[in-house]
Amino acid sequence: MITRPLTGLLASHLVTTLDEIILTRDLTKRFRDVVAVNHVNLQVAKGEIFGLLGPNGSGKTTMVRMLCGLMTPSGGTAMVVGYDVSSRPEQVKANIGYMPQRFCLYEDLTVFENLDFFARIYGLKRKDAQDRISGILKLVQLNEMSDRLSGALSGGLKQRLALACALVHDPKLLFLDEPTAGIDPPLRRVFWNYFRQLNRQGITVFVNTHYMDEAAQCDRLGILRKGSLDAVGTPAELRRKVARGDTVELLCSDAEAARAVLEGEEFILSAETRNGWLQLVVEDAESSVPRIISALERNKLRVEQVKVSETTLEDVFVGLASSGEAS
Amino acid sequence: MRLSRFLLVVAKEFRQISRNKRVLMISLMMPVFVMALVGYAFSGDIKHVAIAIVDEDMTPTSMSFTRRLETVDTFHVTHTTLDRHQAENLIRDGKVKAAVVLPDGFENALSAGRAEIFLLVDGSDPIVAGMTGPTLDATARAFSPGIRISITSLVMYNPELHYLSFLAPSIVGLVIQFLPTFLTAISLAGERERGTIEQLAVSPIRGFEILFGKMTSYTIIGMVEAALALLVAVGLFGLQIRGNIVVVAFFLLIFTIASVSIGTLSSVFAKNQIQALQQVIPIIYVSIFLSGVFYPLESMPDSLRPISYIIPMTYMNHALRALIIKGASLEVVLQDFFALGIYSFTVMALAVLLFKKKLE
Repeated sequence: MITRPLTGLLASHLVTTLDEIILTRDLTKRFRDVVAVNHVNLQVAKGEIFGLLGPNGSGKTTMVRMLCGLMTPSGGTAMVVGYDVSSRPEQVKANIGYMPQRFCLYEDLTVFENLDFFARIYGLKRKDAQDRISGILKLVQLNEMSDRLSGALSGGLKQRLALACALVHDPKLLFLDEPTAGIDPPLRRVFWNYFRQLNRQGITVFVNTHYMDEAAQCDRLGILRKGSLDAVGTPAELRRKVARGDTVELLCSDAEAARAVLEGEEFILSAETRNGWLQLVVEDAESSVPRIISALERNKLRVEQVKVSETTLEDVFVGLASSGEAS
Repeated sequence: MRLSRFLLVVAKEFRQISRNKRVLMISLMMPVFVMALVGYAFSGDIKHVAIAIVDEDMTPTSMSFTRRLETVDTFHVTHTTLDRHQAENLIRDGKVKAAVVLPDGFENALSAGRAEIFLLVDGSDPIVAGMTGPTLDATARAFSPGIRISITSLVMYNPELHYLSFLAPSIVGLVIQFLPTFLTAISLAGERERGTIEQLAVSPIRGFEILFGKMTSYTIIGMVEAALALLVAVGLFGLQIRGNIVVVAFFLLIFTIASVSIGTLSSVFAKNQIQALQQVIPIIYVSIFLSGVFYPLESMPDSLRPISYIIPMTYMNHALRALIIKGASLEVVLQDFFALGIYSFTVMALAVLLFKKKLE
């Protein structure tokens, strides 16, 4: 289970303090008559993994490009690592790492040469750069590939190199733009292990994604649709926002007795019997099912079958989208 | 702009160029190849050049010399006359390319051990004109071993006989008009095409540092290429550089910077390398064919002449020819210097401005 130490704090925390690594106010980007990002107010706390979830074309990349100082906002402000992106983009850039959607390194340079080039652009001395690079290469398990030409690496290895490059100057904040697009699920898991490892080392991670499983890994999520921030919260909070919770259906020796037992439990939102099945609504199915079963077993009730239908982020996403269209 | 970062870009460019075998081959082989090709193509065997013989001596020796000339493969004696004036008319009318004059007293002078003959040449065809003198000289040597027959040449219409001398300076100009433009355009367009500019843009490096790093790298390469072309011309084809080499290098430098800037400009308007090339190639063709690289400007139709004077290459050709062949002083090329200076500065300023704008 992911710990979310800052979530509660943030909810009641609207004034900027040192805890916010990203703070935007009415951040807007217009391209001629298209509004790509529309008055976005966003706070990201130091140390969290924040996910920006949205379909293609929702403005995620534009958002990140503005936050990285690559693109000047048309309106509003954005403070990143304590600097205004419009007036101090150099300071912002020096403190952030950015892993673009596609491989953006020199294919005719080796792994080491690429990293060394960028490390030294960030001002690292030759020796420091070497130490730092060997550390990062170990982290992303590329240390054996140091002298290989980048162009000769496979897609997954290139992606690791891109991550290494984004980390070469030890940034406080790491932007990942669709980091695992086109990567197979096992490797995606490997990447998320890296991200969490980095996060434990104190790096704030900001990730753009349209994969629900990826979004579920984040501490907090913002849902971006057509340039507007529809909702922000932990994955659980967002799930609750659309559905009251997950549905758990039980077939057991005595449905009525089971209902009587469970009704008193605080994690059960509602309980009713139907056709011999006990239908429960819980906040979170994953954590509730074992508790349900042990409670029933304590009361000598035997569970024969369990059906769980979790509210997925996809449901949240679709739910928000349809409610948005309805309004 | 930080010097160390700028140098990093320079070092990186050289490393990448050394990796890219194709670009490396083009960069190093093209100056050698073009110069060698042109040099060999224009100094091959030429046969049956129509000539006239003006036999003012009318002695057995002069007639014998005439017969000897008739056996030479290079020449084809089409006219024999007694009158120099008529020979000049023949040349003027394009009936013959040259006329050999055996003056009155040729036989006597030869038996006295020292004779002289005259050669009138149509210089407007420098390839042919350049060959007649040496061929005549060889024939004369073979005719009278041990006795020197001096040949006095009079070049009509075009005093610059040596076509390679005429061509070589402009080929050097051509090399730096073409290659640095091409290399800069594909290198910058490549950074965009492959997205590497994105990774650079998110780093603290400034647009200027990238641009000047690139421009410096390709200017150095352009200068090396110009030097290679000159070396081939001097070493293989005996071109003599009569002017001050520092002044020549200075002109080459201005022009290379301009080419690199044109390459940069082209990349600003291109989405990828192919587009960049498509934009560069027409510019280069126009430069080559309307600036008098292969033929003197005088040979161009009057209607096209004004265009020539807005093409920088025209000034480059003039300056390099004047400096290299005639050893001209600075005053002679001052106009070229100003024209090229203004051009170079303008395109560089434009390149820097537009590149910066594009990056944002």
